[in-house]
Amino acid sequence: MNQPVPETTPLPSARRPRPDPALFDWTLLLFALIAVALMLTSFLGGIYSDDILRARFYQSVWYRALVAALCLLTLLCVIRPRRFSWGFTLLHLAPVVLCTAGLLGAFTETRGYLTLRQGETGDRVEPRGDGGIVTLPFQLRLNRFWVENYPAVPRLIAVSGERIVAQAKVAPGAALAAFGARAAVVGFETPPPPPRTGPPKLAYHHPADGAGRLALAWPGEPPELLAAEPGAVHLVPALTAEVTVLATFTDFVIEGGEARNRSDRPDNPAAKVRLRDLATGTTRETWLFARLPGAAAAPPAPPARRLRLRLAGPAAGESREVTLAVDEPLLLSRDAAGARYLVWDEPAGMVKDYHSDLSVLVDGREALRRTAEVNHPLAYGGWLFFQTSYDDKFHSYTVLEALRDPWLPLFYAGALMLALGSALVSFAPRRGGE
Amino acid sequence: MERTLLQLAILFYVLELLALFLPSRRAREPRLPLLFFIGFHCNAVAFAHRWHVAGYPPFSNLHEVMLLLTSFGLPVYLFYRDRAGANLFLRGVICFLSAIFLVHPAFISDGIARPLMPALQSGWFIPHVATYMIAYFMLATSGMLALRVLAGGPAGHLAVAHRIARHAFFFLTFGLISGAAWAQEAWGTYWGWDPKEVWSLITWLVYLAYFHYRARPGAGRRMQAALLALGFAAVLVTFFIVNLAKIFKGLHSYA
Repeated sequence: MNQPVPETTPLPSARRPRPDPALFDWTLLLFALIAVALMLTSFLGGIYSDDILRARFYQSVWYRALVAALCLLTLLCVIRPRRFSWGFTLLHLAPVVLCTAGLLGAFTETRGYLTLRQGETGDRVEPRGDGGIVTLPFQLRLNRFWVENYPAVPRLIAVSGERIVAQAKVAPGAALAAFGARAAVVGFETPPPPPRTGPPKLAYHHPADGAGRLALAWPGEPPELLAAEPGAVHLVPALTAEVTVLATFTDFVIEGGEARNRSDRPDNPAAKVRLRDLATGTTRETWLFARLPGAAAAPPAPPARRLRLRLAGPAAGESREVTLAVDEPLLLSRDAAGARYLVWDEPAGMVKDYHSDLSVLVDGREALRRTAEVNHPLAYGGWLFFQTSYDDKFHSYTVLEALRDPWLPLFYAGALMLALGSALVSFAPRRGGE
Repeated sequence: MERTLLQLAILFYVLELLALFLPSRRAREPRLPLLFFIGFHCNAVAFAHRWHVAGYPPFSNLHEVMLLLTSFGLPVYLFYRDRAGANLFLRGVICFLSAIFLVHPAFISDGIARPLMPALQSGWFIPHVATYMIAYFMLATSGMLALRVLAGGPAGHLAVAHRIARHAFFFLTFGLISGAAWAQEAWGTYWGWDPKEVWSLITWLVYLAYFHYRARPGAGRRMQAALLALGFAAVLVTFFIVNLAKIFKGLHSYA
């Protein structure tokens, strides 16, 4: 016989209030509205610039109103939970914390660019958008800037029409099978340099990150570098002359009829030299400008080497040797699919990283010295300096993005809460199974 | 070597798929699905070879992440098999997805290993990409199971789909926030409204909607399956369309 359930004893399912379906419906509606708005806005990227998209859509009042409504609804769930759980609470509070960090950051952050040349000190940050120039409470000095490149690796590639279908690093013995032909690298052939004709060219060479040197170069050969300190004397038999360095300038300019240095930056490096002819004893003075087109010492020309290949096939036992210059295609076959050929090239080394050696100066004294590079910003006094861009021609200046966002710790707190909350919710054992 | 291994992997995955249609139950459900195992090992060796040749974790372009993505096939199968009678279908789905995802690196991509660009040389590179790829593979599997439910398949498949999606949600969330933390370190902004970021957020919102709908009193099974399938569609857009379609221009275009 069944015992009647006393009216005062609640049924197990009635111990907790049932969740209000309306709360879920509102939440789902807001999710849908935000997702659809984001989706539509993402398609406008081809029409509007990033700045316009941000101003008119992502950072507009109605976008923020939708997110604020979702945050309020989320807070309501956290304040009145059906039952407390760390995963649920963290996961629901985290987006609110992240949105708060983003909103407060948008109103209070200072962001802009700082461009520094080598040896230059600066404290003026140009804002990214509208607004006046911001002066930092300290100064930054760029001691040195340098770019790191990957080494260039020669490669042998098989091409069909416009498409690379196979490739191999070029090294003696390396093989590449393509289109029924098998190519094996025998080695490189470097032709002898052309005979020297006439005297070498005398030039002034001044890299952006080093000291100036006199450069003596024959066409097709790397230059021979000589010291260029004022007063240095060099006997140069190839010129049948004695070369004396009279003066050097990093940023040559003529003011009031006199040669002067405008700055310490290597914007217009120049050297004044005296040449004394060893045969006749006559002397003449001349200027050498590093940046003048055609006047600078030519960088070492890449060796005009040729690749020697042994080609096997297509018939068994067939073999022949060929030599190829860089980018010279070797036609293997031509059919309906298009031309099929082998080629070797030596692409210039890609940029691996770029570095700015920076000093923070407070009242003229060095308070910190650190190298900023991509993924490793310099942090000082609540400011962050990100390695953003640089002078890709002469490597003479660096561009840093400066940021001061007092709400950044809130972002990290929200991110941590989200990670923990989602881990607890996803992997914690469920009551009553799935 | 890598391309040959990948083509072999596809062959074994397809053979495993065909074996699922054999009339004999013993042939369909062997103790050890040998073809699947061999295919997976070809796949894994190709991935390891790529890592060795490239000299860095091969996660930097579509070719490489496809190898990473399919390397989760066997672990996902072993973890979620023997649940609610979805064993056979689960193996079929994983073989199908692995074979499809490997078509690009095995036949289409030029396969050239390029050095890492400066922004990719970060401690966040491995956890960010790896967690996203785990999440995407699991959500694709869950989405396929949900599609089966929508097509009239057994309701038990929905329970497996939900379990996979619930676990994948952590990886999806971690991928999203690790990407934000990485962007803060590299570019000084944790959210830049890049198309990839926006679509990652949309995907996350779709799965949030699914979990909220599932917790709602009176949630229907078909609607749950539809939301999981919608999440799978969002994953496909985020993973492929945003990178490949010319209308989306952003910081992830290199991938």
